[in-house]
Amino acid sequence: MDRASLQRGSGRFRLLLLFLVLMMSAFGVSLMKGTVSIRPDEMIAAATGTGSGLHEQIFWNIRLPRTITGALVGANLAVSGAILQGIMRNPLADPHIIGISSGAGLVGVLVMLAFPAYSWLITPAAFLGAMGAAILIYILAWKQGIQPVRIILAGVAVSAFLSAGISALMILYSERVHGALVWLVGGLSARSWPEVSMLVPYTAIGLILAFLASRPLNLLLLGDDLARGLGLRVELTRLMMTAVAALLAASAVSVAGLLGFVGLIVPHAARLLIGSDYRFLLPASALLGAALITGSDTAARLLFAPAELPVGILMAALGAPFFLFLLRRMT
Amino acid sequence: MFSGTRQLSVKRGNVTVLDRLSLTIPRGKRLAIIGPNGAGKSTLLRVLAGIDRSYEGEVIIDGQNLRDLTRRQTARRIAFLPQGAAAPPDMTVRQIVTYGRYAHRAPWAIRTGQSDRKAVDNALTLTSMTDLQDRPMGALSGGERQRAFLALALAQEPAYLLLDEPTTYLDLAHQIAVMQIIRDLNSRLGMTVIMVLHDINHALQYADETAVLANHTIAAQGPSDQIIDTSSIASVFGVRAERFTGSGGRSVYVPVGLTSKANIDNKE
Repeated sequence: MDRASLQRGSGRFRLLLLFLVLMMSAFGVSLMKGTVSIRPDEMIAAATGTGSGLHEQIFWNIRLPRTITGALVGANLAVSGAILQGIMRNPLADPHIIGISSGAGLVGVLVMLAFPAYSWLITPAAFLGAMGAAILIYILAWKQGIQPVRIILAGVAVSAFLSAGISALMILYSERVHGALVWLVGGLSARSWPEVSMLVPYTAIGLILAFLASRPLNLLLLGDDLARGLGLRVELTRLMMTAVAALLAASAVSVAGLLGFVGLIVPHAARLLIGSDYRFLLPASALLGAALITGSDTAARLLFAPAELPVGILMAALGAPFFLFLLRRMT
Repeated sequence: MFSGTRQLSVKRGNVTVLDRLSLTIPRGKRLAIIGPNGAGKSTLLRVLAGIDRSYEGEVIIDGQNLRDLTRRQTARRIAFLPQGAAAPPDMTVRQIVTYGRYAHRAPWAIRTGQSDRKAVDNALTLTSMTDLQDRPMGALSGGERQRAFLALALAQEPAYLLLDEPTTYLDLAHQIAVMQIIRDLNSRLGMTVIMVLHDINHALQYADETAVLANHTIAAQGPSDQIIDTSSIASVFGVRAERFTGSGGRSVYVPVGLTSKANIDNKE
């Protein structure tokens, strides 16, 4: 390789390193800050089992699992959005357009409101709902192969239909609606080790498959005809990568509720900073998504302490103006 | 070994695009496909490239049925440059050209091999893009971008190069530059070139053979200077043209008006 492209490559590696540092800082701050503040030395003591009982309790049972959950959720949603924006070739694509949110939302709210005794079912049921909606949209959009525009239109229609169901449930069970509302907004409070162990396999499988598919994803950026001519099986790639994106987002949403904007904004920001090459875009999205959610969750905990704001509200409040900023930059 | 089509038909719903079309591809030569808008030129090229597989009849490449080849096998033999190809503006020329090697190695391969790098270098040299290889695609002029895409196709090391109106949107100098590169590739590497052209004079000057596509089938095929004359231009395009003799006795046609039976509304 020649010098210029080497420099370019190492510049992007340096950026990835920077994002890693950013993510770890957000992670560290999230571990220390909250209703009870823990100093770095106290945290190390708690982590190694030589700290105070209270600190150990907070560190191991509350902060660490919650922060890991936040990081995994953020990485999943951001990578899912980065994949979808590429394969749909639409800058507005995010996990919502393949029905992830409405599918998970309807089933999650149904369990929460109609079968409150089975609340432990919420996570697996929401996951099935999300995947079910994604599959339904894919089938509806199929007509001798898949056109991105058809997926997006089918996604809008199915989401509207499922959202009507969510509204109906909330009106029918209006006396229990509070818990459902909090979940629909999306948050990380009281998420602990069960959520982490639910997320880890999906994150691991999803991220590995996504990274292995960097090159096919890059080829798709050249358009269907050119990609086909280069030897890519375009329909198969699009189907498989939609499945990977659905898996990542569905697992995140089933654990944290309907967190918006992460899957839309983080990939855009990452692309702006590191370029559209998926070999760099995917890790950048994962790191920035993890940093954003852990950082925002910490802020959401502190802003109105001791009251906690669901991180989903903060995400929307931050995300909307940032999105407008991106829009102005692009046009 | 035969390359071409036998009884090739393509339908879109109830509309016939190509009707029992038989074309012989002259191996090692440059074949131009000309015809009015809507005659099905792009469809024919996409079918020949293996991009569009919803056809009836047979497409044969070197004696082998195109349907029996996988996408990757096809890509190692046939390179296809669609009209108006686009790439992310921040990707460099070299990176784009490297994608030409996709079918030559495992899809998940991260590193480029020695033979891949040589093929990419070669493709850049042949298109005079070596000096521009680290430029982002967005910083190139239209002609440079088209040369980059040509290099991408060459990196596939194909036996067949299929081009859909390669000079569209280019100014005169870049049109000639691109056509000269294509001519060189054919004469130096023996690559078979099939190109859809909209300029009759380009077909005359740069193609050994011309196939005229009209009424969903091949109306005529043969040496360009025998196929193209004022009467064929009139009957195929509905255009009155005058013939001039350029240097070396080469014919040049200048359109001067529509024939009386030209029916523009029917085309497209």
